[in-house]
Amino acid sequence: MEKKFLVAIDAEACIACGLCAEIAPKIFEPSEQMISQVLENAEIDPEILLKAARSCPTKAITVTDADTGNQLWPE
Amino acid sequence: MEKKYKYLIIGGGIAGTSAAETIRQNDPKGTLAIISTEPHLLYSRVMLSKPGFYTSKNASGSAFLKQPSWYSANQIDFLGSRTVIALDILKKQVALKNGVVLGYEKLLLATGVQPRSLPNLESVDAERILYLHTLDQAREIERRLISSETIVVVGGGFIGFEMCGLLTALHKKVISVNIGPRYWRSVFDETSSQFIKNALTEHGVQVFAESVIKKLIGVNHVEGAIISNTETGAETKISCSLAIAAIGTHQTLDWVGQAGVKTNKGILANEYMETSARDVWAAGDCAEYFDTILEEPIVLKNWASAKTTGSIAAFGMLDKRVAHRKTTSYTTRKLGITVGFVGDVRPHGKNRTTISRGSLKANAYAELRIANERIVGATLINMNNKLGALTTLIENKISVGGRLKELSNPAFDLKKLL
Repeated sequence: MEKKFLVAIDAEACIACGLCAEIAPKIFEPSEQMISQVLENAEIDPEILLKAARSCPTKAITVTDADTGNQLWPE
Repeated sequence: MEKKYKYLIIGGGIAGTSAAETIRQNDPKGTLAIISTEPHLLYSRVMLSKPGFYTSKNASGSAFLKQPSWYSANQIDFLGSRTVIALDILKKQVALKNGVVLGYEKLLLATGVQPRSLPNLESVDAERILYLHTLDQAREIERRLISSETIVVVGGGFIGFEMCGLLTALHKKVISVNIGPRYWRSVFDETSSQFIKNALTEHGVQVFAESVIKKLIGVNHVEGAIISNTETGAETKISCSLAIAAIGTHQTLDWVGQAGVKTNKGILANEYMETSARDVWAAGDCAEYFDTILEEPIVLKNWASAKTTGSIAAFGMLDKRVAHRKTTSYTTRKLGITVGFVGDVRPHGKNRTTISRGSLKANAYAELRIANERIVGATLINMNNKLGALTTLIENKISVGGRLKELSNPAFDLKKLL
């Protein structure tokens, strides 16, 4: 069964560096303000999702395992 | 020689760590070490100027981006609290201050920058000034904030603004001392600077322009300061319990230059982040590299640029050369305004002009840097909704020749140029 994740972005913390969208263009896209947002039909590869979340210098991206409720990032 | 590494990285910040990560993804076996003057594993320098760092229950921990397990799992030797003092590009060795000599096959210089010290202060005063650049310095500020209500911040640039913003958010009384007549004067024009000044004063920050700290008052602890106006010589005595300086950065390139690696404003590198020395790369804040979009050398000191250039250098070290081609941006939200930067924001340079867009009255303002009929960078105040379009215009080198008048019109949609 495909694993599901909850991805939250703290728009206040995002500094618009665009790294997450560059690493995971099928998951994140920049808004007009370059603030990161999750694509409506995001194709989530867990490894790429976590790599993108970990690239954020302000830890603005939170990734949670939807099945277990465990927060995967930030640790 | 104590040990020879296939990949040796000098600098444990984001540029060096990004390089290590890229190397490990492509070469799981090659010996790899990171030398860092700091004892800490990778942390976010960006977070050190955000209020969350100071309000978090685990402030120091919250800034870390890598755990010890990452280094051990990736077989990366992290050599913390070590300082490089010499490089020999013929023997392919670096000498550390503790006497150890390490060899390399491929070397990355990602040495970053250091904060400038306040000049013209007596030594006893100089020791009491705090700086915000490293995690340890942020910890010291965090510790001292507990007993400090009024803080003087020296410096009118980005970090000075960040400091004023975060201290205000922490409900401290803030006094800003700026040697220049206006804020961020190396980048901003008068209108942009006025936005900064207005934001500061509207949030209760007491502003001293064209002023310096002449002396700190107090024996064991800072109890006040004498602020001197550089134009009139007038002196003002203020009460404060903490003094923080943020007057820019510099880098010590002595041992790099002595080794024969060419330097200018930074360590010179081409678009592959290759320096003038064989098997030596440079990345991050210390590098002055050739930007293929701008078509000229540049030193960029932001997180995304450091991460990207670190990774590009790593590909070169792996014999998988790729050229740098990216426009970086970043923003900050403080004191009720948002400030954004994209591309090359330097106001002066070859064939460079600035087009302003917006006004104080409209509460939104941009300075667009134009060179050779292209937008090459921009500063944006309360206008971050233009960041995306500007990034595309810059990266795709779209000509705006003949459209300059339209660019200055805030009602003109930049997306029409795409």
